[in-house]
Amino acid sequence: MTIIQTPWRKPLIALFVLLTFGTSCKKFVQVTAPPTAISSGTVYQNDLSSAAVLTSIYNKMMTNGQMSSGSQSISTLTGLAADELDNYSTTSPLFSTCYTNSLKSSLVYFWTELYQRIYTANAALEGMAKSDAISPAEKQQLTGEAKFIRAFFHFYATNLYGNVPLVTTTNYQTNTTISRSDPKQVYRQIIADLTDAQSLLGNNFLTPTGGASTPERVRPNKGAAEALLSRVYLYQNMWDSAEVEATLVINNTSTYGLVKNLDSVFLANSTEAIWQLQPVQPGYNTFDAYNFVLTSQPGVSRTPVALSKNLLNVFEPGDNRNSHWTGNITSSSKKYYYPYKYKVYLFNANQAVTEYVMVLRLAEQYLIRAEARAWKGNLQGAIDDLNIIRNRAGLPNTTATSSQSDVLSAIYHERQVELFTEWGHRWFDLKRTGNITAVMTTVTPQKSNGSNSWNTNWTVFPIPASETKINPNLGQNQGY
Amino acid sequence: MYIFSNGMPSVKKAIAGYEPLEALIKAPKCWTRKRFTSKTLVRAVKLTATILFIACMQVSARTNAQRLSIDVKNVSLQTLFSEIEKRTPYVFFYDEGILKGTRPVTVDMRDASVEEVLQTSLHGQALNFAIHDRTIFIKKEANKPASIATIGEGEPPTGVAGIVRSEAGVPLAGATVFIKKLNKSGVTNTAGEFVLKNVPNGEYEVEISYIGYEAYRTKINVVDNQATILARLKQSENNLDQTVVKGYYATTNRLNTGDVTTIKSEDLAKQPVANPLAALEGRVPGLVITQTTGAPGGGFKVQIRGQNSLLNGNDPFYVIDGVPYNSQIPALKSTYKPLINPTLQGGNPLNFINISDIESIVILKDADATSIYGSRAANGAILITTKKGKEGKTKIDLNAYTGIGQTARQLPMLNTQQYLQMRREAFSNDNVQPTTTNAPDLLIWDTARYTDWQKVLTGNNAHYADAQASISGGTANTQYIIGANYHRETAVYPTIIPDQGVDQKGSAHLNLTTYSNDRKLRVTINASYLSDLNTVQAYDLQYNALNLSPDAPALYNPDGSLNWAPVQAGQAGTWNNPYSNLYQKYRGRTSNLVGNSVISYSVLPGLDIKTSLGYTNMQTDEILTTPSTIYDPSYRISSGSSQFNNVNSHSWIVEPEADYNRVIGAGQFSALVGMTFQENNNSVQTISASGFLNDALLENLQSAAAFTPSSVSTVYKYNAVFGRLNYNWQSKYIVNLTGRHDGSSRFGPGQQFANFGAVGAAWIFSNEDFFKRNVSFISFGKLRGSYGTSGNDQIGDYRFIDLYTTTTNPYQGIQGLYPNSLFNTNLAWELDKKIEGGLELGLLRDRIMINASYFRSRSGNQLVTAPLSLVTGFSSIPSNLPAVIQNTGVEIMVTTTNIKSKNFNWASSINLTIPRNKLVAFPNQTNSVYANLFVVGQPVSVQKVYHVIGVNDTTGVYQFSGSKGPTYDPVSNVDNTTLINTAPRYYGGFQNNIQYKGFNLDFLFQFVKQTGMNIYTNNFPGSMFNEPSTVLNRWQKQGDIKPFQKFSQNYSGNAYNAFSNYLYYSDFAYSDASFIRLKNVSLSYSFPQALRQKWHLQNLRIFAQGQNLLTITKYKGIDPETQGTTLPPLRVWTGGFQITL
Repeated sequence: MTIIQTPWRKPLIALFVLLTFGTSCKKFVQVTAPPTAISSGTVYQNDLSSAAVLTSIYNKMMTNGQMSSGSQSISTLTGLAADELDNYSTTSPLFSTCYTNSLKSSLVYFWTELYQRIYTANAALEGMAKSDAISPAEKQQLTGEAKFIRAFFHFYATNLYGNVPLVTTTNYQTNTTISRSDPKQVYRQIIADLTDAQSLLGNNFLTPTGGASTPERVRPNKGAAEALLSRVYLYQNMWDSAEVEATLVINNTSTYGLVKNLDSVFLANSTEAIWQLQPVQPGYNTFDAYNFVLTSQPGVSRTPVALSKNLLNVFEPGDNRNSHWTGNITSSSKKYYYPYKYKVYLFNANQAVTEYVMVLRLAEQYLIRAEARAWKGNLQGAIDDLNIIRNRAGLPNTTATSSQSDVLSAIYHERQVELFTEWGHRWFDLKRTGNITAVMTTVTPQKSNGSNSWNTNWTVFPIPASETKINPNLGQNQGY
Repeated sequence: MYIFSNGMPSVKKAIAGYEPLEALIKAPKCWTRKRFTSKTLVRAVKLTATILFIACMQVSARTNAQRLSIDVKNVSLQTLFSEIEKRTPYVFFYDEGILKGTRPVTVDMRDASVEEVLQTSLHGQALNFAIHDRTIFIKKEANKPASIATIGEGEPPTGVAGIVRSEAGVPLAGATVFIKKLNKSGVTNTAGEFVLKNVPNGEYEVEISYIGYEAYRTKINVVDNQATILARLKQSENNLDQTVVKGYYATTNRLNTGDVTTIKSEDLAKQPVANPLAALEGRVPGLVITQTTGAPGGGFKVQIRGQNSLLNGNDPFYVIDGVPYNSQIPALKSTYKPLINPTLQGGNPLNFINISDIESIVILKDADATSIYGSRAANGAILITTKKGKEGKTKIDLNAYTGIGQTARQLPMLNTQQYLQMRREAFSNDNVQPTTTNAPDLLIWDTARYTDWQKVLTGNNAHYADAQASISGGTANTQYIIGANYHRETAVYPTIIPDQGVDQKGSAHLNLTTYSNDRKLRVTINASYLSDLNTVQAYDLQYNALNLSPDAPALYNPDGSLNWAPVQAGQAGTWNNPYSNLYQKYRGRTSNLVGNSVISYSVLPGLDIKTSLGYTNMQTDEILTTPSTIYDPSYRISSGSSQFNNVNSHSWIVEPEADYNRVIGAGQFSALVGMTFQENNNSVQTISASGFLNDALLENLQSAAAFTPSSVSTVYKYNAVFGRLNYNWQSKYIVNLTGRHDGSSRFGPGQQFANFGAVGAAWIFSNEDFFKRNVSFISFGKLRGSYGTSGNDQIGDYRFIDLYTTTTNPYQGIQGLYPNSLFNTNLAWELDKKIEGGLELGLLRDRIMINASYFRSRSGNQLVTAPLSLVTGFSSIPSNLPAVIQNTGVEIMVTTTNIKSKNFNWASSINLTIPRNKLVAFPNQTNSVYANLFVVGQPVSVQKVYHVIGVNDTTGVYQFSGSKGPTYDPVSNVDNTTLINTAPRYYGGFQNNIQYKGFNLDFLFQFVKQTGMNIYTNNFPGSMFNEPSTVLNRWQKQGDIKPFQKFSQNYSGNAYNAFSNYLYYSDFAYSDASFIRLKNVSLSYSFPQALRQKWHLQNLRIFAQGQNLLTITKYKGIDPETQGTTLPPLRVWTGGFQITL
């Protein structure tokens, strides 16, 4: 045997010391939120950080590449799908397939953003509901904003895709296997949310910090809820309600009024604005201006799109909107026209931001009320509203006064030239008025050199294939 | 001062009392006077014949120091003294009577001092000695100090005692001394001393063994229950006895119970590469390393034994000198590339470790080797050990090389004539008229131009320069090495801005080991610091090289400005001038410090306690400037922008640990217990700034008008208790138990801790007597096996907390807060169960070594970021899946010494791995988001793709087989039924080393059998991009049977639809990507000794080296390793020299 006779005692003592040392283990591996983030429990303990959650929604809407503004916006893509824009891209499958009405489910565009914003709104609603620490006034305002946002994105979801998932919780387990709902059901929720928002929100525009009033029209208020509600009722053919809501906005003359000078309509905080979004990317004004304004022939310039003849040809002679809201450039002895509602297109980090993205504006409310009145048979009322918009554009009163259908046609025409390349109005109007097949049967073959003909399946966009793969309950729209 | 527990003083103290020997020698006068003057001194010079005198003594050739070599067995002290007198100028004085009753001694010492010889031989004899001038006085031991007396007074020191040292004289602590006949054994203490008590008189064979040394065997004759041994152990040259580091402990290849591959610095030094990972390719069975780009400082993919994790976290665990090291550079978000320079493909942390500082790289594979790392080693572990100083003469080593690199291969592309033909045919097929918008290449550009873009954009030479110097040496108690290195490497891209396209590294390395005089306390300090400056062009031009039209315009206008070939003057250009990207300026500075210190103390013989302290800090500062002048002037961008990126990663680790070794029965027992406290802090900050006043001020944040900052900061904490028990019975049967109790901050409360453990066992059957008697051609044979668990926590930090982060730019003057990701409070460990069996054989006296293993690992409770429908607001959620992935495989490594002679040596080594990956189970898969991603029973790397039948001879468009017959538009998730597996089917390497006199030739072939994605999905043939010339074999008219479909430029036609939506996901996109690559050749010449001596050099060697010299492949694309369109690994030639002073 060795001379080492030390019993096991000593090593055991050493082990014991080590292990007692280790009693703090559990504590050692516990971490709290990192310095660069904050846990949800903390967010909704405070008015400021709760408001910041809603702010993040508006902020994200203004990031490039999103549906609100820019190269992949609703304005651009539905403008291509309808008859507003021509495509000159030879390399972008998204643009060419939108343009030739041959969309593929392999491309994902609006879907991600729609449901990310809805998630944040739901998270804010759930977080605030659980918290007693937020001041009641702030909670009311923010709950109103969140409901408005949830309605806003569901509205675009159902109008773009038809049947869509109706998402009112943050529960990922149910949402990842959710089925799609009928537009009627989706609209019921939209109306409920907007009605809530209308009663929760006030008439003032508020700052993000503590509910003070501000001239910045960049957070939704009561007017925004009413304006969207009037549009929703119109889309649902609920003429009375549409008229009521539009009138509420129009009569609020202390806040809203049409801007005489067409070049000033889309300026920041123009009185015509019901809800605008503030650009956030340093150096840029709106991505609408950046992406639409041509500095060379389209396709070579940074944008591959230009206004189509179908739109340019419907402007009446003397329509100031044609001269003020469209621009043109000549290249290789060919003239190209572009949307020029937003004018500050240059990127320059030192320049001031003078234009905001217009989401809801008063002119649309006049046209909504005109249409609702026309459908109700109040033709004179309809004509009055219509003429307000025409006169502002430097046009005489309408001559289409004889019948309801004449008046309605005049209103649809007016919508086409007033609201072009704004938030998909043309595409949605074609769909809801049932004119889409008549119009697109001519336009689609034009756009694809005759290789495609119009198919009614194409009134809704395809659900992304990656989504149907992950959630088999979604199913796909017909024809895709 | 140390006393053995039975009270017997140590060898040295027994002679010198408790005074240091030096003090005793300094005071001989007093000593002599008192003890010797009154006595009759006998000068004993006569030789006493002894029975067993086999002495062979000689005085060392050197005369200045009295050192001698001596090898005597069982001789009397008298004989020994007289022999020493004969060989040295010393004379002995002693009282004859005092030698009565002393026992014979056995001494085997080489180049030892007289004192050492006497210390050894007088040990336990109750005698003392003192040296005065040239006289050696021998006297009876007396005047024992009280402290000793109280313990051992009167008790005769009995037993077999001795000292075990290395040839260099370093005491070997923990060596085993074994008397087989008595089945008695012991272990040496820190001073290399041992005593075996209660040995009956008689003759015995003693065997002394120590890790990494040849066993020492001697015969002793125990008289009066006493004998003395002084053993010097020779370092073993047999690979079986090489030390194998297994994390917290070491063993040898011979005794190892696990599966471990070690790559030594010699193999690393043969390769002119900057990243150690590049040097491992093809050398290690079970290890797949893929270089993702040929740009200096670029990324690597590393996988040990296949894909264990379904979707993420397949990185092995890296440890440098005991300190865990990042496997990836921390990124702002897991989806981002951490470095802002996209050419670098994310980079790799090991780019910031100097390869020449590395002594060895150890790859741990099975459960026995990895379980001690617990949760972090499910994907294996890679341990890097840096160079240590060695005792001996100060050595200065200089090494330098220089060389060039090139892209090894160019893909045959369409020339201008063929390209124009393709374009015109496309328009005519589509019935479309070319216009200046859709065909500037036909209508605006000069169609007579031809440019070979591969030559222009990636055809330059890369230059390499490397110099390193080190100084090392030390004494028995202190050893050191200090090294420095400079490495410079350039890219193959054209350089426009001076100083761009260079990667430079400067580094320093220090290692210091020091022992206390009693060798009980040991302190080691390691520090490596590397500073890297990378200015590689931030745009990989390889992509342009493969897709720019051959008639593309000139790069510059006559006035020297960039040519954009506008439609008409002042308007937008018609192409993206590739040179515009080169005006961006990139600079990435990284400094990396890895430091550690180990303090160990030997509390008792066999029991050491130690603490390992480690610290790492890696800091990367990057800047990428984009001047306004790089844009097409029609965009009227008046100000430039810059991106600043700052990555900071620092970690500390403290690991207290206790090691215990003792002999139990006829075997050696070792135990280890330790704890880990570790914290990693990562932070990434990025600032995008724009609106600079002037392009000259792009590096000055203050002159910018607008900023977009983003930052992420994370903390990872980790805590564990680990242990190991090992029992080695007579080097025949070895059992090794390891385990770890692990806690990670990546999981929520209640889920943080888990246990991991493994058992490994080995049977060295060649040590069995019956085997030795009957089988002579097998010199070594071992069967080993292991089973155990390890885990994986590579899910990212904070994934169990519901976190909100801030937006990047303010809205209404303030930032927004948004939900970052979905969270999962139930996240838990991914668990990996590994089983392994191995057979190791040494044939013909170990000239042929065979190492074969079979492994199976099953990982379950998969940590995944499970895909979710975007309707949830996010695309994924971190979660555990019950799916089970199995990796099985066979690994074989055969090393042979083909010829071994004085002047000519030839050795070969071949390794082969045949891996199989299988998704074993996936409960409820069909209802999950993975329904269409994976197939149970198939490898997880399998892709479900469409099958291309061919090109329809009427329409000219690809046809796919569909459920309703051939179609150009197959149904997704229905018709994609063909399975393609992109994981390697087998791979390995074949290395040869041939030595003839001073010449040494070493070469390594790497081979991989695999399927990969080819180049045919890159661009739509007919569009405004160049194509590989093979596409000319296309459909042109009705009835053509061709592999490629018709040319088309219509992005909404059927041809594009078939190409973009389906071809990419079809079997047409995949083809054989197997390759055999002459990975490395190294030829060197060492100057003969005669010349070196003349020049006063220890070593002088000149060498030429090459990397990636030859690739044999059928791959359809630029390179089968990188695939795709990134810059492939370069072919490199270098030459240099090495001098050792």
